[in-house]
Amino acid sequence: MPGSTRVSGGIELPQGRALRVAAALLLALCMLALFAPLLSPHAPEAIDWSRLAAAPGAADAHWWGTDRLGRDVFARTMQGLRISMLIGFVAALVSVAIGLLWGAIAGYAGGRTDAVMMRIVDVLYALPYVFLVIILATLFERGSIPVLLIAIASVGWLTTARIVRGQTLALRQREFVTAACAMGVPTARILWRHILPNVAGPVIAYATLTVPQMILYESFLSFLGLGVQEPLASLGSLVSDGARDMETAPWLLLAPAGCLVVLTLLLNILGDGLRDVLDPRTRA
Amino acid sequence: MSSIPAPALELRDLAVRFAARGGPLVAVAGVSLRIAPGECVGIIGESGAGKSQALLAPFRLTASDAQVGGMARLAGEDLLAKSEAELDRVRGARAGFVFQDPMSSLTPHRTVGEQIIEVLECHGRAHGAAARTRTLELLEQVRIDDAARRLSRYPHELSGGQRQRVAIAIAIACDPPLLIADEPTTALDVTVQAGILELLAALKRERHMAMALVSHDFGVIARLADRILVMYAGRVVEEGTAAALVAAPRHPYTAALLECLPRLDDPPGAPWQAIPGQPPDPRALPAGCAFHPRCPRAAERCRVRQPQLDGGVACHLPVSA
Repeated sequence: MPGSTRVSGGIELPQGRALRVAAALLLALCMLALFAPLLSPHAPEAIDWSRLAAAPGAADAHWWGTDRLGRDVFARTMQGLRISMLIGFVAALVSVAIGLLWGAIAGYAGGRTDAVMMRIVDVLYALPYVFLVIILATLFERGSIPVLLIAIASVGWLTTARIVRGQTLALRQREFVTAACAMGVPTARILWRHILPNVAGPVIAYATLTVPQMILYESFLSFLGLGVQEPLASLGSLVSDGARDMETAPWLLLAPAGCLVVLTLLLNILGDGLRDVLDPRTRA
Repeated sequence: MSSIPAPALELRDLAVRFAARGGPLVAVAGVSLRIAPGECVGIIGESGAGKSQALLAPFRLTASDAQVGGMARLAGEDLLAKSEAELDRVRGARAGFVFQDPMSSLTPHRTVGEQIIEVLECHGRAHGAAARTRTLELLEQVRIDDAARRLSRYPHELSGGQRQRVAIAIAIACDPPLLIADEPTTALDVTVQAGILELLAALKRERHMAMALVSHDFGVIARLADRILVMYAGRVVEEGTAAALVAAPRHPYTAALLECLPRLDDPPGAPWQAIPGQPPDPRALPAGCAFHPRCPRAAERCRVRQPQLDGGVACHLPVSA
């Protein structure tokens, strides 16, 4: 049966169902994060002096409780979700764009250009990115979102560059590239129209897997206190705050941590699914 | 009509070398050739004889580490002195190329129409709707039926013969005066092969196109070529008009190649004719004539002195007519 994979148990598993479910849930989560301010009567930074560290389900529409300053956990978590997603998607986009360009040029040029470009990648790989972020954070405003994006994207593109370079190197040897060259198609156009479409599949799949990675990077930085600063929140900074009151007010940890797990899980399922669908080798 | 002022393509003492481990690898060692406008020259030889290298290297279509020496002129213009950008304007516009396997010479992720239109646009021949109309005409000229529908097909949706016709349409899109066909029928089955050869013959007739046809198959070459060059180990060993060369080969290698052709009137079960031995390793060419280890006529001087092309044959002891 086309479009389905036969599993050893004999069950027909429609290919891409997990993909569609994950995509739908992800969309729902995005909508929830975006429209949360309309759902909840509380602003993320509003302080409710009458209810400090209230448990979830408390009155006054504090569905997920409040923190020690009386701020609504639902509103804060949704804000964190928005910021984490923003950073994740933008950083993934930027790093995939840089990686694509870098890898394609290195792979197509070959020879010395390739060697120099890939050694730069190796050197950047070897640099612990936390140091990089600390340097950036001290040089610039700590916790500013653009600086965070630069820091995260500056390491994120390395793997994409390697993947694309490997693919381009293989494609360059293919006859259709020689044929395009033989027809007088200029190099830039060969790269853009003949090579990139062929690396798009693996790159799109990898990009989807990059988003959760970026979100985790950001969370890690925020957890260390290098990321997003109060009163803004990201999932990472919320987890970091929540961890301090783990024993007395576990909902402060569980709400952002749960969101983080669900978000990264969905993105990973999506990425895996896309890889299966887009990889020509798994296609019938 | 062989040597009117500027030949479509002229190579003189063309040499192609690659830097390889264990010394330079000489793929082409001094090939001279002239293709007059409207003439078809066939180049034949075993794999590795340097036939493709000799024709592709002047256009910088071989590996980037190739060192090309000698002279190569396209309609009188020096090809070897051109920059990459200048060559981009030559390739496709003034010389079209058809390669062996159309499955791999067409980009898999783009439709046939897009690939033809791309060439027209790259050379500024036509844009937009005009390019589309021209593409339809081209597909009709290469005798693809139902051209309008094929336009939006991907290469893998076409048959081998149709794909090669598309590749030819791309090659002739800008009306180049020269077509270089590198084993254009090798990847196709025999009936399809005949159709493609017929198409090439028609293009040559109708467009007065000069053609260089590279093949290892005498059957293919003999049907299309006006003149034939036989190459062995990077050199031309024999050269002549197609009729004369096939009827009375003078180099023992040419004679041996012709004897390898199976004939329908061979008795069933007759042994296959093959040239004994292997083509030489280009890194370790034998001294003297490169063919001498496999040559039934080899004498002492063949082992010592390299024969030069003289009167159409490079052999110390040519087969007499």
